Amino acid sequence: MAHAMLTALSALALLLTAGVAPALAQGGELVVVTSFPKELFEAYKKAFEAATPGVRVVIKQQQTNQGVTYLRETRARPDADIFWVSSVDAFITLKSEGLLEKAKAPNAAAPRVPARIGDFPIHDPDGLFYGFAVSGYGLMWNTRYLQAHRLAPPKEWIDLVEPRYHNHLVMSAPSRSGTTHLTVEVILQAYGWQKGWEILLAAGGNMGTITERSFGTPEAVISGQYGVGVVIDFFGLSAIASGQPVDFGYPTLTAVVPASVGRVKGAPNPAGADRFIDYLLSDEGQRLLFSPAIGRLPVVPALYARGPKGYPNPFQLKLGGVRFDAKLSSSRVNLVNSLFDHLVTFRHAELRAAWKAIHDATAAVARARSGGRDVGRAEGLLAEARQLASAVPLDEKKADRALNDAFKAKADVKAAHETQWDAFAKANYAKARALAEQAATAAR
Amino acid sequence: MAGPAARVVPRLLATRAGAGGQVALFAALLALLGAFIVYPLARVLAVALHGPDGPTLAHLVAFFARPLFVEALGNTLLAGAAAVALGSVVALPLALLVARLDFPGRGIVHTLAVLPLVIPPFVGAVAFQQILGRSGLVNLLLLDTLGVAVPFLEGLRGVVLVQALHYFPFILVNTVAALQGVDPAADEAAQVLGCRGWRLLRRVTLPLAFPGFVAGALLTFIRVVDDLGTPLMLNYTKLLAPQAYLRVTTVGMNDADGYVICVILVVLSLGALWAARRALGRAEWATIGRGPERVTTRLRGGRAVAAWAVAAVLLAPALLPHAGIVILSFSKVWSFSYLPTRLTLDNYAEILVRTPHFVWNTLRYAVLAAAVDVVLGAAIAWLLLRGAVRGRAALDAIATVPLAIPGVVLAIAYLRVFHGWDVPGIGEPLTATWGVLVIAYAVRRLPYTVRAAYATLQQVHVSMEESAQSLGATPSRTARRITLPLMTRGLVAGGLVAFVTSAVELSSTILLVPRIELGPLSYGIYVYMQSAMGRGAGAALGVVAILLVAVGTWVVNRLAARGVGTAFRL
Amino acid sequence: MASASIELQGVGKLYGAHWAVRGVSLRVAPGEFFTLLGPSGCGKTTVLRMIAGFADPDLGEIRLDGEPVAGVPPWRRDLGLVFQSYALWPHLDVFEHVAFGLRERRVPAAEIRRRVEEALALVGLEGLEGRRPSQLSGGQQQRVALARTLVVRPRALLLDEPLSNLDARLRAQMRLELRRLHQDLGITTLYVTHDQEEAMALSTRVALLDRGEVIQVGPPADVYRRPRTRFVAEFLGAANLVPGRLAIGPGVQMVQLRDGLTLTVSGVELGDGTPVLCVVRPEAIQRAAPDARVPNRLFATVESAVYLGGRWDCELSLAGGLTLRAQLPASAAGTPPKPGELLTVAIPPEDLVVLPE
Repeated sequence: MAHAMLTALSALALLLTAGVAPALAQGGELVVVTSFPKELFEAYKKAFEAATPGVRVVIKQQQTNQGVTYLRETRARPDADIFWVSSVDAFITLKSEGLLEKAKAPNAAAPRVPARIGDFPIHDPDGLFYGFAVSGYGLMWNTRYLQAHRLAPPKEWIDLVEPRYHNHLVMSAPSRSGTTHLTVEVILQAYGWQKGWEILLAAGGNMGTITERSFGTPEAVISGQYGVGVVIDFFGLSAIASGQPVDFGYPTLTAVVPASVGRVKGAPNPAGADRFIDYLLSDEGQRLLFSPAIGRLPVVPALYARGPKGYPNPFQLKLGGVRFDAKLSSSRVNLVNSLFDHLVTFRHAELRAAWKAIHDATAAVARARSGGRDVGRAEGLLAEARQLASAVPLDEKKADRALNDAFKAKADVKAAHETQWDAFAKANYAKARALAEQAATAAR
Repeated sequence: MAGPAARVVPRLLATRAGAGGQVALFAALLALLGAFIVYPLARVLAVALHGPDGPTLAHLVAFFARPLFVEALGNTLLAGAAAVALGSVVALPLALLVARLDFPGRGIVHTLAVLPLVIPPFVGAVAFQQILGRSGLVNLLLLDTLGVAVPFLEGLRGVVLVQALHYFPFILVNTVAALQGVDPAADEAAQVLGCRGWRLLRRVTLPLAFPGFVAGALLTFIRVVDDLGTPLMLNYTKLLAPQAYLRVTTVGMNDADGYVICVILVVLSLGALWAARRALGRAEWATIGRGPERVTTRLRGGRAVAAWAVAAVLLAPALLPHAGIVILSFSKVWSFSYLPTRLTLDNYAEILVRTPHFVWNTLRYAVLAAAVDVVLGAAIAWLLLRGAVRGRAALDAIATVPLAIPGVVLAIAYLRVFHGWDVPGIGEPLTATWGVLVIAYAVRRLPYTVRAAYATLQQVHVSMEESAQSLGATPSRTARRITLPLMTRGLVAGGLVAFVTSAVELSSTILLVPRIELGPLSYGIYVYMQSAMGRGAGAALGVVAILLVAVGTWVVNRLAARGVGTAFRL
Repeated sequence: MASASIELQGVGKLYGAHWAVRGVSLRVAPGEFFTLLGPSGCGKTTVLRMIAGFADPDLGEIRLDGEPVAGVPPWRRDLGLVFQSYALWPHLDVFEHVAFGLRERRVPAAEIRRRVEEALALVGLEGLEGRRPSQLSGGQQQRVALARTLVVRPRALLLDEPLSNLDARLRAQMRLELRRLHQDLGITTLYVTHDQEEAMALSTRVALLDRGEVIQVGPPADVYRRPRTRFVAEFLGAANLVPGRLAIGPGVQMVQLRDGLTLTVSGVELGDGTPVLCVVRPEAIQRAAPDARVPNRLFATVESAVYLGGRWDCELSLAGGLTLRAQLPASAAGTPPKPGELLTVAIPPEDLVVLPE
């Protein structure tokens, strides 16, 4: 019996080697790690292969963070040539870890591609990655849902804290979605650290859920599970183009940031990588972005004249007042992500309950006030509740690069902070809820 | 009288011929399992138990100091227990129906009852949302008629609901097997004493089937505790598995917290496994003489219809996501409405014409993985039950450990271990080929085939082999002519489970797929579900996955009849 | 193949810290029907398995036809083995069962066909070639188990309680068949059982085992009539065990029982005054005329009498409180014993066995 088993095992081993053999990287292969959806990378793969005979594009699709992890883990023997995601932060991280190298892309040069969009540089100043499309962040809403719930679509970030939107909103966690992280940073930079967190926490309290994948948010809005989602413009634009009952709008306070492409350090096919990057920035490559399935914004301003009618032109949009500082953003990315997770994502049920109580109490206090009653005490309690439900346990000055790096390197530092933040959130939200309920009672 | 006081020399092996072969097999198995299970797992543990100054338990201790993690642990245990309880509510009546009653189409009910295990990830959750979600079919109906919405899928209760409906087949199959194994004489003895009907059920039948039920319940508990897909889909992260996933993929591979959670998950699962073994005891289920005749009550006409009605009521909630996926596969726009407002066949055109490779890859990987598992499972079971090599119980333990390793951990461990090492003669690391996918699937499903092979081999009494040997058949001839033919059904059933669950595996796949063209169905679904346009196509792929598995299950059900159950059993 | 002899010399087997078999030495002559008889746990099956090769002795040696078999695997020992459970294979039909051993010996197909039919005829299973074990009755299953071993003409046959799964009538029937087969074929047979009726009916010689040791070996009648220990006496047939003291005088041997009763015995080789047990077989107690001049005449009262169809199973109480079980023949002419009746009985001295206590 033992011999029979051994023979069977060897036979299977032989069979398996058949699976190991053929997947050799041939000379004309280009391996691309990307977080972009199928519509986008398929279109580019087809177009690039048609324009560049002899090269086969091989796609490895993963979420941004997983892609970064993958490059880290395979740095000793890189098998990817191109890293291609929306999030600038990921590129900055890779750059700081020495996982990117310079590519030659003539099409990327100025003045064809401007140096900045708003205040945001399109390419990496050190030439390690290139912006090939820009995207803005905005709000997408489901028209049927809003109609059924009799709500008007929100216009600005600050609208999201309104009581009427409670439990109708959705967003993804910045730690899970590079694009959401940038949205969060935009709010922090636009309103300042303190007030920015107040808005994030109040809006967080209005969220019905925090999704795990960045596509979870547009998915939730498209399927009608929630009414309003915080999304990147191309999610909205492509959904509208495919006939879904949704609409999209940019708040005035937004940043338009590039989605980038870079060559992986030690890429097996550097020449192919360079040609790919150059193709993305060519006219043909840029025009692909207009297609309804993709819905992104080219970085070559001249092309908008021949683009589809009514297509947003970021170079002409009046984007109010956010001078986005990418360096600042990446210097505290781990902290911001972890703070959000511990203040919002992981304690979401408590946060939501606290804000529900606050909204209810506010309504009760308003009614009492118009009824002529004395609401001083109730208002006091309410104010305290609000303050507790919007507090952030980390000072802006402390949120520096040193601590950010410690979060990656020193597990105990991270654990200590996270434990503290978690306890902070838990205690605060419970107290806020209690105070709000007291306020409501006091107002009756 | 005792003879001269000669020394009795203790032996390492029985001096049965073939001992050399046994040792070789043992060594080969140990090497394989060591390379693909123990070593990668050890690397994971190393991160969890290693601090900047060397090995330490500080991380473990720190885990319990974090309220978030402790709550996650509490939630996990609670979810496990609740899912088992809810799953039993569905599974037990169905088990009684299938095991004790005979009505036309009983086989179909049995097959349908296994389908919930095959919910393709991502798209299954989407379908659930379409039907049971806040603005899903059921709630829209409720809102329009009664003005209320029931938050089925919210929070922990949503996770428990989905998991109960997803994993209850484990309880069902194990209980059915136990009920079928109960000696009819036990029932008859009780009936003679005046006990029948419900009382008979409660006092005699169910207690005798209890060990089988416990086995199924514990298997379910383990799967629930390890489940990553459901919590992620429902955006509920205060559970151990999603926390581990989040730590490792967000913060990075060196995040000790993630690995600590993995260790705790492994401990929980192993504990449950141990408890299950104890519950079942070391009973020998040898078929000696005539097996017990199956006691079933025939139902015809109105009573058969009633049985079907009960089955339908119990199975309907579990099959809702499948219905949802089918509908979604034909839809172009399905948003905040009972049913899609625009239908299309484009999705099927897309996947069948443009991306057939997903299906072929799935077949290739899943069949190979199942074959590997069947051979390994049979070899291990044989060594455990018939062999005499000391330390063979270690094989059983190692082969069962994968039950407790989350897929994402295995994938990361493989990346870490195999990426820098080229397969000799190929010039490529294992992780650049589709071989690594097959290995990951095979490793993750090995526990099932080992269990199936073990249970099947237990039923081949040693005397059957001994009688063959006394007639002149060498051990290998005996294996070929007697043991293996008698094990075929159980082995095939075990292979089926491996196949079925590999076909929709995602958590390891997502990190290990070298390139899209080499991706299986589950990966294809993931890719499609990244955009609004892709929902329909993703659902179409999901339908293909379900069909593949349903047809496979039905075919094997026909061929193996009795055998299917053993695969899902402990 | 000619029948082989089976020889065990000082064979012992250790299970953990416990000797399952201890110092067993036996020789089964070619063609003999040798039974290992004993209660469960006495080690008889272990001995059988060691001879078959499924267990190795820790001490001593086993020889088949004079050749030591240590290291020879079961499939090369050329023995036939019938299990208590028959161990039939669910996936093969009757023909394949019987053909199994022949196929292993690479017998050509035509001859297989012939020999299988022969074997089936031998055990009375013609016409059932196509059936599966689940379609056979217990008795038929047992015959298949027999047929498949006999067809290969082994040099010895080992049977492990093959009849214990059958009902009483079938058992009696199969006993006769086994006897007939043994007489016709003359194969050396080693038979293991706990049923002493089977042992007596079938064996050339019987070996009694208790707790791993051989207590007594001999032809059934010998062992029955002259048990050497209390265990043997009680195990074979029913026995009245009467304690007493041996009294030896010139030309006379007597056992003095309690309360003054004495029994005359003969052929005892123990010393005067030894405390002994007297073994009185129920059938040795005979009716006697009240005034008959016969040795060991006793007056008894019938306590109970059960009619067993041909004989009466009686409980007799003697003066002094002694109770004996007796089997008295029932004839149409004689009067049936009635409870309370006074009866005179006598026991021939040569039917009494005296054992040291």
